[in-house]
Amino acid sequence: MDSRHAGIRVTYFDYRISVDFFHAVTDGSGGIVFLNTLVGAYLRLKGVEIKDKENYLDDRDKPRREEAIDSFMQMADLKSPKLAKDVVSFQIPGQRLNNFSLIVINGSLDSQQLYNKAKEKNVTITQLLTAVIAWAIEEDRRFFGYSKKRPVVVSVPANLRKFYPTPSLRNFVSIMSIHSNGTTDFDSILKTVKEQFARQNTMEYFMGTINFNVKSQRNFLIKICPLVLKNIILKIAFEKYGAKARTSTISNLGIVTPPKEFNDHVCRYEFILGPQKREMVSFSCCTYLNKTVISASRTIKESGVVRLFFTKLAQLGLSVDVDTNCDI
Amino acid sequence: MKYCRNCKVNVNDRLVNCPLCGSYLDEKVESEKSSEEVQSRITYPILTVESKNSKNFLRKNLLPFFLVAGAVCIAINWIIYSGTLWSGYVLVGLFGGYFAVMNSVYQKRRLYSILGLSGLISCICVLGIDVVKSLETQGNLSGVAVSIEYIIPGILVAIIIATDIFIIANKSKYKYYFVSLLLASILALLPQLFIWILRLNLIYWFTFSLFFFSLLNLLVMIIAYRKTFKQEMLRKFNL
Ligand SMILES: [Zn+2]
Repeated sequence: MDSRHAGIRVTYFDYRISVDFFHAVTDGSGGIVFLNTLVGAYLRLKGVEIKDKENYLDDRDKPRREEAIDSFMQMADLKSPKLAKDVVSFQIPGQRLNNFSLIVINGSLDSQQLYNKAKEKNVTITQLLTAVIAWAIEEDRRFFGYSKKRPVVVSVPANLRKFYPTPSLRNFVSIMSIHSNGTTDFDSILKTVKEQFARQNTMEYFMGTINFNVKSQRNFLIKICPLVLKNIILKIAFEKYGAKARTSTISNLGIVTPPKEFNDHVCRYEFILGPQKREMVSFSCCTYLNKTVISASRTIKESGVVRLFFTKLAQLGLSVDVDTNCDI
Repeated sequence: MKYCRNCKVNVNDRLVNCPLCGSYLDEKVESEKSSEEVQSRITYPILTVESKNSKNFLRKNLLPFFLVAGAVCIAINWIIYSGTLWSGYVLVGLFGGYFAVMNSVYQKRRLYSILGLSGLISCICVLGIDVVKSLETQGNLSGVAVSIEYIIPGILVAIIIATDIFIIANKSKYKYYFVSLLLASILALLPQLFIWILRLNLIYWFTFSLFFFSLLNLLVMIIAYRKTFKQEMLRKFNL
């Protein structure tokens, strides 16, 4: 697809303002800045002056050059090799919805309660959620008796800005792949998740992946290849290597801190991962004003994994308020 | 807030069934004031889920279906051969139908890519029909003439002029048409080049004038829009 036609899409519904981003344009943190800037522009029309500039750009400012830097190119040292190899993972079976329709179930939790629960288990919130997802998928496949030959792989995007601070608003994330091999015991899943985080959430691990990507980007043969051919080749390569590399994703945007003036006008932020070709169920979450909203978006009819995920959180003693866009 | 006893979660008042397990909800619970307040403001465009229809089936299996249809025709033609190569025309038709029509519709191609692409496909189709006809009547390729002499140049002249008009008239999106123009111009050079290189004994007033028309036209367009043309070439071909 030509990215010039569909880089960003802004839509609205009742009190809601939504922006869809093509991931090549930006990532979660850049997206939040865009959304805040847009909301700020509306608020100014309503007579609210935004003085606090946190995660916010004034839409009357001219864009600065450093906002559009490709930080992958800057960060890559082209030395360390790629550490992890992609494997073919377990794919959640289900009946696909038409035309990339997306069923979203949102669960709203008290963030302090969630934080305390994670602390009690001696893990971070992202690690806890990753483990709950891996458990839900494992439990679903045990119940229906699907083959355990392939591992469950939950991919966890990590913001590289914490390793390499950059003013760029462009995409700057890399992926961790958390594996689980067939056990349905929650505590042992939590333990392996924690170990894999410790191994993968490091500069060396990400550097390897980035080097691999930057090297292919600089490859002479790939460079001179016409775009028409490149589109076809990349499509095939993705189908062969990338598409089945993960079972699900949990993308945690963390705490959203917009300008202080927003607090009286914005009651909630939601962060939803769009429909994907192979991945049937994706999870994402963000925290704002002491509420963590976890969104489970899926392109299949079956709610099994999502139900197991939220009921597990409820079982852990957390109070969950759920809501959905589709009543089937 | 409603409460699902089965899943042990609170559910928005708006919903009749639990979105997780599907149970009918008749139990109300008091929850925090803040979440009671928020829930009425959180609304969604309601999604209706339909079951898959047969249109999708045809769409997904179009290429195999066409291939099978072509193969069946060839087989029938082979077995009961009666002096005509009718399956050749069917193949050309299926090829054109798939790539120029169905593919363009299903991929939601835009006009600028349709112009170049269907130009290329229709030239191939016309040439194909001519080849089949020549094989049928002469038994070799010596009868291929009318497509190179008139039809292909005619199609290409139409496409080149149409693209020119779109580039000049369509002020904001004109750069998208350059690839189509480039493709049509290169194709337009081929008939005359064939005649020269293969020393074909064909009428060549049309192809000859098309050769120089397309070269001149391309040159004028590149000079007139050199900056955007350069950007577009850089984007598409890294040139
Ligand atoms: Zn329920």
